[in-house]
Amino acid sequence: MAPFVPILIMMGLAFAFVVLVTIVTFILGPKKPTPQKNAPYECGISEITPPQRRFPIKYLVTGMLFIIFDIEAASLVPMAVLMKRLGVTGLIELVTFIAILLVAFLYVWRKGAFTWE
Amino acid sequence: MDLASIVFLVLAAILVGSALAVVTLRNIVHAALFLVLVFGAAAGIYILLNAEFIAIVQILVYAGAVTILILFAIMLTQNPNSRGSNPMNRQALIAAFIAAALCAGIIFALSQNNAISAAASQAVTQNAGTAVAIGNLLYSPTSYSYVLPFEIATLVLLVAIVGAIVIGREED
Amino acid sequence: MVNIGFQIVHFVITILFFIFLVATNAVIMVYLERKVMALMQDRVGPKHYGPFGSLQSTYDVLKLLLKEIVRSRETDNAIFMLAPMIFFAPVLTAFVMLPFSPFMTTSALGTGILLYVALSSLDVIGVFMAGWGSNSKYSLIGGLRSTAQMISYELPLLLSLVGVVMLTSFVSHNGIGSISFTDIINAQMHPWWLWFVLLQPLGLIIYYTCGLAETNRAPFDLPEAESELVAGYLTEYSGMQWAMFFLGEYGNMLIVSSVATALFLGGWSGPGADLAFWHAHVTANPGGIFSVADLIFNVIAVFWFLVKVYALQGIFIWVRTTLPRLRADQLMQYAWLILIPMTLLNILVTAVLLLAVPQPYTLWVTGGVNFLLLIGYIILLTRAIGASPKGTLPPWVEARKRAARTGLGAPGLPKPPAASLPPGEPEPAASR
Repeated sequence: MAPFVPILIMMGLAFAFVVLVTIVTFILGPKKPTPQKNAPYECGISEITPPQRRFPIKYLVTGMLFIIFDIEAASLVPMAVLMKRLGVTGLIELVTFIAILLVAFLYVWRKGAFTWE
Repeated sequence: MDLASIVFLVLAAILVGSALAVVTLRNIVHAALFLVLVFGAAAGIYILLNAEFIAIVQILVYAGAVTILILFAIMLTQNPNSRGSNPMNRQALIAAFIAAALCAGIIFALSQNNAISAAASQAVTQNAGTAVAIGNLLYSPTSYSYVLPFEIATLVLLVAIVGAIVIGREED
Repeated sequence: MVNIGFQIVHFVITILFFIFLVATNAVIMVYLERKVMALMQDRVGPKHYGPFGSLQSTYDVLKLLLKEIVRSRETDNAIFMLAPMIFFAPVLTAFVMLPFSPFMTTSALGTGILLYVALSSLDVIGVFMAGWGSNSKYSLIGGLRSTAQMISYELPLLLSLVGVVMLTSFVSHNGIGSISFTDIINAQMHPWWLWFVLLQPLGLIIYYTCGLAETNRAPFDLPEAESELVAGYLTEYSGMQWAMFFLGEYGNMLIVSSVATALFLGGWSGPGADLAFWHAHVTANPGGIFSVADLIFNVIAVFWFLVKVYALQGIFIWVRTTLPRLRADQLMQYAWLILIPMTLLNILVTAVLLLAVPQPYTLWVTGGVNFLLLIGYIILLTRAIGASPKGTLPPWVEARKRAARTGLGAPGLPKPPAASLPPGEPEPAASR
């Protein structure tokens, strides 16, 4: 638990730093809002349509695949730490693991989830 | 009260507070972002129990990945920006009753069985929550080993990938 | 044993050092980037303020501090204001685990690598918040692209570090490796210098590529592709809030380079600095400054660490001037179809070699085969880049060929008249 105290402190300092800098610019900087200035950016013309917020489903599939592969990658780390100790057993486990991963990978590839746009 | 309990109470307050915000906030993206705080506080509690590895995987997988997936899913819905995009549940009363009953049940079970509460309140011993310890438990054939359950879990993940593809590719 | 007062002083010094480093690094790197890019492109670059224009970026910071913060009226205020913090905080926090020298480290965390990856995954949420909170089309598209890109490149990033973790297990005397940065650096100079880049060159290359993508640097800078998306998720930000993202981005570059240095390039080892390690080892006081000699050793160690870090950051600039930007789909395919399989292959090959080759030759063979892997990767890469337009035919040629093969009319196309392809004329695609 003790090693995490500096991490918390650093995180707090980072937040404080950003807040402080923002406050300083709010004090120092000019404040002259105009309707044109505060309009959302749109290449110099006035906005025609509000931002459409629908997004392609490809990114959703990417997100799902990411979670699954992330779990697998994270579980490889404790295996790698002990690789020498685990010896041949570890190697068999690793090969099985990667083989299963590869089956999933090839399936996803064949289904065309790795082609964007 | 010692320092650990104070930290725990603070973390628990953050966790419960932001979990309530997730449920009650009307803007669904705000709700999803409060989820990050929930996962972070949960990771803090894991750290308090000396389960370092689990805590970090919690941040990596839940705060980093699951939240992003939820946000991507929200982006697919029609209009996440409207004020009432997180519809309130009309069965709040029944839900509150069930939640209270479940809570009471857990507290009752814990108070009945001293062994469970003793085990639950006990932190993992120092160094038992590191990557090395987890690796020993999961993969080592000499110690009590979870090798087979682990490989089965990999197969479950394989099924999950197939499911993800089936669900995600349906609308093309 | 060190007393508590010493610990507090040590802690304050290191924290201040890290904050100072992040702040000055951005200023130095902005200047260096402009100057070096100018040299490479045969321009002059900044030259008016200070010798060789070296005060230019300092003035830029002061100017930014005096700028008005323009906020679009449609922003989601809370998210918009919080996004720079969520983006910047993990960057600064990640420094806590990095040992710049035996003394210059604050947290002896046993789970360093994983925490680093976890923190960089929190960055993604900051980017998303910036994109969504701005409530502008360019920001949203840029933010979502960036999010998808960052999560895709996080996988090979984590996987490329697994090889290093495996090596720590094999180098250690009892077979128990480590994922803490301090231990990995120590493992790289324990018997003699054994920088892991010698055993994992492919790991370093892939890690560095992913680092480029994680920091949204060229050639992976299309979330903020200025020619199509204005500035991506930064479009609506101005003044110091914008600068916070910039600071975070440059801090991220520093982190990526530092992690690469610590894991692959031997950390603070270098002529003169190994003595510090041995000295600390002999006196059994690792991590403390107790004499003038220790102080000098630590300064040398920090010096070598920074030399390596800035060499790596120089490559960031070099790559930016050299490579053109990737297309969005190429970018994702590169991560999933090339980098992830290569990292898995790397892990597998490294594990097999380390276990199978007998003792005195283990490391030599592993290093050699890994360099062969690196060459294979480069060949694969050149083929993947060069072959993509060659093999493909335009859809209408494919349809016509299919029609000729099956005898059926191509769907959506009128059946080609028989005389449409004169016998002497080559196929249009084959002539390319």
